[in-house]
Amino acid sequence: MIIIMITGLLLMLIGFWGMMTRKNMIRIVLGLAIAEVGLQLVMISAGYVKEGTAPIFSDGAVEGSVFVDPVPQALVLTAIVIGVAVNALILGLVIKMYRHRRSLDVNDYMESE
Amino acid sequence: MISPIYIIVIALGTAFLLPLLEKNRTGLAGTLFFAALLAMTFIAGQYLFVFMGSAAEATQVYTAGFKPPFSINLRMGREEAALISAIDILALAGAVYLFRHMSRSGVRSMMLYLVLVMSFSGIIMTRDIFNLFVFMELAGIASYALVASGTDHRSVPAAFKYALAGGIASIFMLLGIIFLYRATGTLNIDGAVIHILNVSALASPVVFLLVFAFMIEMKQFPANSWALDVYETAHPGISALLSAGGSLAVLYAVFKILPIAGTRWYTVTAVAGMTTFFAANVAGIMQKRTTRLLGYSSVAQMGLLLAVTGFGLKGILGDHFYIAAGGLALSHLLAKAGLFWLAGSVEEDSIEGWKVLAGKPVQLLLMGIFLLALAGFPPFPGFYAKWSVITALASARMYPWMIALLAGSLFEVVYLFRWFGISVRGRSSLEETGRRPSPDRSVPTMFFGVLLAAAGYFFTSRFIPGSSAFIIPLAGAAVVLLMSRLDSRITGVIAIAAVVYYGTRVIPGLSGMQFFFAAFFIAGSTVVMLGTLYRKRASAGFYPVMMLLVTSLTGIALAGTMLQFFFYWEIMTVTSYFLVLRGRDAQRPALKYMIFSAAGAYLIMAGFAIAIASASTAPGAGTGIMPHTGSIPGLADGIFGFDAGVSEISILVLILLSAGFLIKLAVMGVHIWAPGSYAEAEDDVSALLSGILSKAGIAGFVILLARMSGGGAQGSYVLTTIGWIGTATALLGAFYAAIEEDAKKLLAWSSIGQVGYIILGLSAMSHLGWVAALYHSVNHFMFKGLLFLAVAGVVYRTGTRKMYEMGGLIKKMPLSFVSVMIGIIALSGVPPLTGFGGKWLLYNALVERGWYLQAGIGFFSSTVAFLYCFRLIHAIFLGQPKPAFRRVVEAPKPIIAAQYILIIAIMAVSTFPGILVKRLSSFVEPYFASTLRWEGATVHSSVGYWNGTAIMMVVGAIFAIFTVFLLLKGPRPRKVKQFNMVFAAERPETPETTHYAYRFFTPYERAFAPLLRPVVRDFWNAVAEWASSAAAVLSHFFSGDAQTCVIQIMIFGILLYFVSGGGVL
Repeated sequence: MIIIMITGLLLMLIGFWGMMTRKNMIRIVLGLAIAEVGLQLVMISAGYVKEGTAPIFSDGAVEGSVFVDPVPQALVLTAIVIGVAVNALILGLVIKMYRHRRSLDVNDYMESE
Repeated sequence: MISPIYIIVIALGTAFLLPLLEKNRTGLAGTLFFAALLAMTFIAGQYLFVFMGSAAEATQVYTAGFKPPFSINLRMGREEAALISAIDILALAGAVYLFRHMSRSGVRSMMLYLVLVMSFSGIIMTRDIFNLFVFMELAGIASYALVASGTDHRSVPAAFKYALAGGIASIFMLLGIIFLYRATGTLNIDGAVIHILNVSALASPVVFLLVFAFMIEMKQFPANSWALDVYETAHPGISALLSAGGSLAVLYAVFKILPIAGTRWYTVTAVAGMTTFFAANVAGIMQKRTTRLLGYSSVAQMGLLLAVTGFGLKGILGDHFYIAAGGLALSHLLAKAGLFWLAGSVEEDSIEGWKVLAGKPVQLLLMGIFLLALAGFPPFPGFYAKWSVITALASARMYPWMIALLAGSLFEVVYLFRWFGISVRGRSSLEETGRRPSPDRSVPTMFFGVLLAAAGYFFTSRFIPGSSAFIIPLAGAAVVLLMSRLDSRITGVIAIAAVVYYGTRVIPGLSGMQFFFAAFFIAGSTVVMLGTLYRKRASAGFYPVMMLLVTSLTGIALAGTMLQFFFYWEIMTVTSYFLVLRGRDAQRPALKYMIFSAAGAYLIMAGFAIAIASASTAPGAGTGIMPHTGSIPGLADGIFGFDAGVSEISILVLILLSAGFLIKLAVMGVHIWAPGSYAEAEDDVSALLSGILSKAGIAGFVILLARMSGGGAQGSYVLTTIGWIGTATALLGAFYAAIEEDAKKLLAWSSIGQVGYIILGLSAMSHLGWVAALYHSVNHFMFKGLLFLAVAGVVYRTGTRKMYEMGGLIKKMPLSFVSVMIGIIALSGVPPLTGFGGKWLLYNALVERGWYLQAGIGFFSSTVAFLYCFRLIHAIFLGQPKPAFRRVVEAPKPIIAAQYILIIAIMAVSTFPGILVKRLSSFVEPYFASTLRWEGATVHSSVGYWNGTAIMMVVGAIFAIFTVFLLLKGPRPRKVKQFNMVFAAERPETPETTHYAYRFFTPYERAFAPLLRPVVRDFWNAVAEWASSAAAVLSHFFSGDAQTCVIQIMIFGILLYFVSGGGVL
């Protein structure tokens, strides 16, 4: 699971790198999305319990078996939903900006001093 | 009581219901929208009501029927109730303001608005950190959309930037939350606080991530350029809600989660906050657009509040944390919202465009209230907040923090009051084009103005003992303001009557120095106010401000505690600023006046804070931070509870307070505000400024130095320095006056110089010196008031202040001529008039003290004074009259009447100086044993004697003899017309005057050129230049595209990591 956590952190770095270097605004948003995915991986791996099973309570649950921690999984679900909503909204903003100026280059929307 | 969870239920329920009503039922939707907001406000308000009344337990709401950590709990305590009520009231008033804008886009904006307000409440109430994250995201989404719905097309890129910043913040926040959960096994904030203490392995990165995320949300420098764009481009109503309400909600979240981080992070937070406060205020001075300027101010205020939160959690502020944080938050919420709304009503993007406000008293009044509250002036809550923060910092000996806070505040004053000055004074050719704001916009703004005034009243009545006495003049001022539509002479008479009545109420119970200064201020102001009665034009606000000024001056004299003194000092600063600003071209001089006054006030504040700190640590001294908790003796008994001249701390206090008072007195080096303000203020106001207002600084000095008389501080190098400053001021003031062409500026320079003598006398620290100083204070008021009023009359009739354009007015304005004649004789210090007595006392004191060189320079300066005195008579009244002024008549009667009252006073004091000197001597006696001995009308000092009455008689006799002689035996001149040149050697082709008055003293000017080089002015110009460059660099940093903002956030993260010591706990 440590590998997944490292992968997640790496994905976050990649995402941030994208946000800082790409000029195309859609790519910037994608950078944010990649970072979010990385974050979600980290979150899941944080709740992992070694050799645990899915935290589903059912009649078939074996006495004495270990679950992974269900709380981070619940959090991840919420985070994913919120992330999607935010990304959709940001992309909506990008579309609105594009309609106004016909440009996706972030430098074209410079705020003057 | 209704459970606080219904705040969330109602908001969400209504938000979901609204789309169903979109078709054809927008009226119903609007009603529902307001009903929901009202219900939310009501729920929060009932809790606030309960908690105000008693110390009730906070209400906890547990969801899903479990206790934490298995459920999410909401807390509704005193702080939560206060904050949510405030934000909901803001939201309600904001909804009224925004409704027209929102209903344009159907119900969608209303939905978002409800969700936004709801999530603020959620952020404040929740005790679960993940739930907190959810509410922050909700608030984020709602505000991105609301910002982008603005009419300004730049609002979409701003929302984009905002969303990216929010996205990054939420990633770090979630990362922190998940690690926090892993470290502590709980998401409950209070639970995590307990657990984190036992965990170390994961704690530091967790804490770093959380703090970093919240710092971005709190718009900390340099991760805050997004906020500026948002405030600038969003609809002002939205900006108001986000800046005033949302920021406070997030601040409270920070307050909740910081204990997880631990004590070390409190300091880091405070560093970040204070840096932001300073940087944003510096950058603010370059801003030209109002909403962006407000954005900088918002960011700065949030920085300050964050720093205060850090201090509070560290325990530095003690019990005053709630006064500090609450006062700042309340001021920020009300004032910032009000200003954003005002900006929306004015609909002028640039500061220069706010000229349209000129001549709109209601809006200007509101703007003034909001700006004063924002800048932390009394009586508004921010003043008490700043006072308690500064005193607490002084107690903790955190001097660099004090400097940062006060310097940042000064920059804030610069940009806020420049804006105000332009709004008041800007004469736009399109004066009438500014529309009246519609009621849905003006009513919320006015409502917040009233709330702010009420808050100010509440705080003031709590912290300023005896401030209820201030209510009388305040009410009087309000009455006079309401009557300002009447003829200004009627309001003037009422105002004078009120001031006199106030005097008869206050003065009789006083004695000693308190009596001296109170009587001086009230009587002097009455005379000057008499002189203002010639105005015909209704001048809105003049007399009310005047009354407040008189009251504040009296308050300074009567102050029993440092807070009281400073309170009245600040009121005096503000009211006199308003008076200066009334002059036609006074915008820039008034700003200069405000900046220097504020700087002086901050020095005084720092001095007081350190004095209080040293007094409360000294054994046996029981003075609290808020002096109402401990009794500090007033002026009558000595002075505030510290002993100057004992330790290094008291020397520091002495230096700080002296510097503050010296700025007010406009001594050399910090004088550059004075000539412009005196010259550009309305003519009779100049008399007040020079004659009376400058004595407030003297009063401050007396109060300060009185403390030192017992101590061994007589030989203090500080006092010697002050004495030399006084000497230099006397000399240079006289020089600059001599080469001045502008009559009022001449008098202004002369005032600066004369005040130099007073300072010199005070700093001699002896009985004679102080009597000389007080005597000269009275005398200076009399002759300078006389001269300013006389010149005011001349300027009023001729319409020019340039002396070389006048000439020959002796025949047209004989009464004014006599006034000036008497005035300059009293000024120059020749017998028999009052000036001589002052000089005699002063030189005696200096000789006694062994300050021979100072005395010599003082004597030389008096000689230089003859030069400018001569010009006043020669250039204005002698010579040949100019054709342009052929129809000039004597000055208006009221102004002459005021002058002759002063002349009578001068004559009385000249003839019977004993009356005044004996009294002054008795006032000084408690501090210095008298060294004057009286024999009848003759006064003996250790070095000589003086009999003013005898001198008067001798001079009078000589004068009478010569007059009689000239009348009887003198040559009879033959009167001719002006251009009759029969008796002259030549006859010019065209009639022209031969009166020579322009650049009269050029030879002297050349001779003393090296001395008169404008070193000081160059220095201050360089300071201004440097500040603008710094501001330009900073504001360049604050701008850029969305990507720059992302990079800045990352840089901020790295900085924070290193500042916090690598995230190690």
